[in-house]
Amino acid sequence: MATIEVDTRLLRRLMGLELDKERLEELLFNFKGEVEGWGDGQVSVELSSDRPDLLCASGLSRAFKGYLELELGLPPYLGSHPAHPEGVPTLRVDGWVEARPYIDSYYVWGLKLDKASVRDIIGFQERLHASLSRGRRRFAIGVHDVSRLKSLSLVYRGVPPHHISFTPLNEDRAMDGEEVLRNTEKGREYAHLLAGASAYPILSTEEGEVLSMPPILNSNLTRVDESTTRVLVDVTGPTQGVVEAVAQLVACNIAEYGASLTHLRVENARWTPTARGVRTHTLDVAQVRGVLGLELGSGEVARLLGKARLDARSLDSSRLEVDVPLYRVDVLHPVDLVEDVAMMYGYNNIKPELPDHFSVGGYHPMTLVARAARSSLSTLGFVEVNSLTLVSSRLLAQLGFTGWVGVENPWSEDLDALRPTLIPGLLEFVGRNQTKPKPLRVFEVGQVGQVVGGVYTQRLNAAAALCDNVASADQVESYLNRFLEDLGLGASYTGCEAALLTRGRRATIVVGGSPSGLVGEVSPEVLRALGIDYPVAVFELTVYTPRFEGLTFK
Amino acid sequence: MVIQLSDVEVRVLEYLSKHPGRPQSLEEVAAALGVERSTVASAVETLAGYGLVERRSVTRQVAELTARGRSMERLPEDVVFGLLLATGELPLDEARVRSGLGEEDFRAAVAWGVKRGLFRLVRGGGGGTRVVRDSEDRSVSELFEAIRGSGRLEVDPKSREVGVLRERGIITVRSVSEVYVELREGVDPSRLEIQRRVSVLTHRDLVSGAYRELVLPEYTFKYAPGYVVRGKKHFYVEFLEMVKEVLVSLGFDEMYGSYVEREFWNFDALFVPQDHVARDSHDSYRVSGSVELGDTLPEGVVEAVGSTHRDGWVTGSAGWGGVWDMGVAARMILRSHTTSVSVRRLAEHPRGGFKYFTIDHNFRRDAVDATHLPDFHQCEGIVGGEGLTLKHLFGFLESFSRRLGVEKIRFKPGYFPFTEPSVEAYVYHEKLGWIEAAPGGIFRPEVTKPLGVEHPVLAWGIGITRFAMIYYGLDDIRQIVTRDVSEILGKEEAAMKFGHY
Repeated sequence: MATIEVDTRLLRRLMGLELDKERLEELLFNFKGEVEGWGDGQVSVELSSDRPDLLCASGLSRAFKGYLELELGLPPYLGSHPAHPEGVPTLRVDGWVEARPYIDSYYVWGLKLDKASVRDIIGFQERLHASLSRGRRRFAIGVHDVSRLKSLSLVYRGVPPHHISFTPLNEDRAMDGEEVLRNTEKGREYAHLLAGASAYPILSTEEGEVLSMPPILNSNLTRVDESTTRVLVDVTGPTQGVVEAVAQLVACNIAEYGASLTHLRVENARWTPTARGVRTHTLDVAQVRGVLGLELGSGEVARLLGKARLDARSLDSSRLEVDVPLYRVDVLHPVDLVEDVAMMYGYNNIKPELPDHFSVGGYHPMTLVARAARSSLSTLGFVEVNSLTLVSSRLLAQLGFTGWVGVENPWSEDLDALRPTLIPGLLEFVGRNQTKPKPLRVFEVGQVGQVVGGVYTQRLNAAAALCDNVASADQVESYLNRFLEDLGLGASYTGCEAALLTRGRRATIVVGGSPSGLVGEVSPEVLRALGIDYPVAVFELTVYTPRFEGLTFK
Repeated sequence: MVIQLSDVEVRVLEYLSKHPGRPQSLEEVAAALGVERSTVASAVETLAGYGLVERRSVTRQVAELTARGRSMERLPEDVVFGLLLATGELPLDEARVRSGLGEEDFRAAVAWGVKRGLFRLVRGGGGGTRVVRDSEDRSVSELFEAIRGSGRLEVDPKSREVGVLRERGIITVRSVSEVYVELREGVDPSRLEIQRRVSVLTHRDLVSGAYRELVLPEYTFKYAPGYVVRGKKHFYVEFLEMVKEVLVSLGFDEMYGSYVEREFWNFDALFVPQDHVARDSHDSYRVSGSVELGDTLPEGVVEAVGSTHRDGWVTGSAGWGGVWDMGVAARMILRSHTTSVSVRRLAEHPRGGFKYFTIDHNFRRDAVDATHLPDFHQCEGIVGGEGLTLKHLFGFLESFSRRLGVEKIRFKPGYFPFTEPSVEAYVYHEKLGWIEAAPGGIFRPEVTKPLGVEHPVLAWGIGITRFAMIYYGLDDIRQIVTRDVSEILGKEEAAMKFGHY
């Protein structure tokens, strides 16, 4: 999820349409966006993370134009590659740039920018860096105004830090590589990505004018503003596929500002750059019908994919070939195209339907046992408590419990263990309600997790506590006996070592020959330590041990 | 005229008829009948209402001993006077010693003895001051002894004796009103037609047949119930039970699963890439130490899942690329969603049409605040079988929501790594507007194929706590784990909530 601010005037200008709030909200909704609020000339919208191409006004405009059938199919700048009058820039990779091997680049010209569109482009880069780049590890983006460069013959190579010299963006003097890392904000933030590298990645002209030092900073020489008409986009990173997709994504979303683009051929000895700007998927129309339950013909599916800004053509009577731009990083499988068809058809035009299948439902036995236990204890006059299953390991240790599952990275120390018992939750509850009318009788029925001999087991426990001026072993035993009767369980008692209960006034509950719980009076020391001023007697009993899929709890 | 009287009222009437012409105080009647004075007072009130008795209030002055008075056997000057009876006179010092009185009491005894003229002090003549017996005046002493004997005595507050004892702080005098009651002239209880009036029906009245003669008083109902100690089921747990009922009625079978889970079942088998933020230690709880689950990962499935992540395997997908690390998949966490339960179920039973659901705890690293609990419930459902489509998923989400009282629902395309197409169902609430309520989708082939599932599987996972909050009008999620017993006792039954949502 990413929440972005979209300039609505810019969006309207890009689309050439007047859009009222309702219409815009509807459009965003259909592209997985939820409007969070409206500001002066802008809308704040939460978008899903699978469609980075929609994270700016120009990307939304491209998608909306398709949905509204103002433009169909692949965007024009991806289809044709007109030659630039001044010639196409060249990019050569000199050797293997160990710290950041892959690079891809686009040349975009004919731009008509203003303050709003420059803000949109810069904001887009920042969002991609923030949401998808994993702290610029996966990719780093540079966008450069090339008008001040002496030539467009570019070279990407590793340069020893002390041989580097350029004026970074928004700085007023030249620095070497080390200084850039030490003396600039971005340098300090991302220095760890170049830690240990003997040479830093540098993109420059053959004449030695530096455009950027990826993934840290661009040069001040190529900064972009409203007067910029042609830019060079570069993306670097450790994975070829990611680098190529992101480069196309940035270039295309800039090209929406009335421009043309050219993909640079990256001359290098180590890898084969992807030449085509699209991947072609084969889509079976029967699959579309099967997934969506809609009676769609091949032509209709092709038309809907065109609305989704993809090119689809018939391969044979039942299959389509679909060209998908590299920037559509969400398309991994033909089924992703099926979702595009559904979105263009309109989710809310799909009529909900129930299948004809007849099936008989039923409760898990654990639910039925839990119901019986809850019914019994509430009928006996106990109030049900609902607690978190995360508890404090400190409290568990204090009460003498063992064998809980600990959490390595708790958010708070109070919730750092999975409960192996329901009693701490009940005692905490009793403590907080001890001034309420008495007798105070409470219970909880819930699952607990325990580690026995290194192996995790999960069970359903029932526990009850009674608190009054007098709360004794014989009282709690009476309730326990009625409870056992309700559950049809026969029980006997044996010795008990539970530290939280008073010696001589405690017992282990044995059901079916195995120890299944405990009963007794909470010791005065424990009560005092918990700040409870009244006697408390408790019992806890395992009432069900489930068998889970693929798991057998012993 | 029929007169309705309670047992006590009848007894008071009978008692008074035995003492004609002699008004009885309420105190006397109460003592004679062995009941509280207040009971007699209210009985007399009723009898007077019928015009059967007459009442007269008398105010009297009554003397009682003070604490100081109660500490005395006799007045101290009487003690000294007693010593003089035999010898007629004693040296002052010897009188003090023999009286056994303390310094202060002895000084008061001498002062009051002299004042009352019981004895006088004679100075000089060798041997110091002597106490010499004088005339005997018993009136003050007798009043003291009378009050001491009876505990309470009607007195004339203006008398000299009362004045003396009050001045010395030995007695107090207060006004006491007493009601005297007697049968009204001409009333003959034996000639009255009396019906027994009781406050409650008793077992004895019922079996003896006496109920036929009884009249129960009118009871005024007022909405002011007293505290009744009672048991009660928790509203939130009951709400979840109602939801289960809805799902079972829609033909779903319930399942449960482990809270402790391998990342493999929680993430990898769901095609969540290994570098996904949800798998970060900022988001999910890692289990500390070494804990075994007592299971083995099915080799074939593990290989297929790994291949699918790497290059799509035979699923037709491009996969995520890069490496897939079994070490990451084997890590133990507290499950972050119940979808792990669904996936395990699919791996065990890949074939056949089915509908399953589970409602249980899940864990995510979150601060506890008004909208987040680190431990929350999810309502998860899967439907598998030939011919299932997105239409049917919408159909289930709609039917389920309808059964929970929702009237309007709309569908937004959504994104989850393990479903495609994905949807987020929004439901309409009169006060809150459109609410994001039910995310779901169709499991991706990258999820189903490695598990050996060959048919579509519809899935959803609803944050059911949110529904509960709407039902109960809760504005803070922490209220579902309230630590206040009165909040639990005060909640309407969940079934009623469903009834008039």
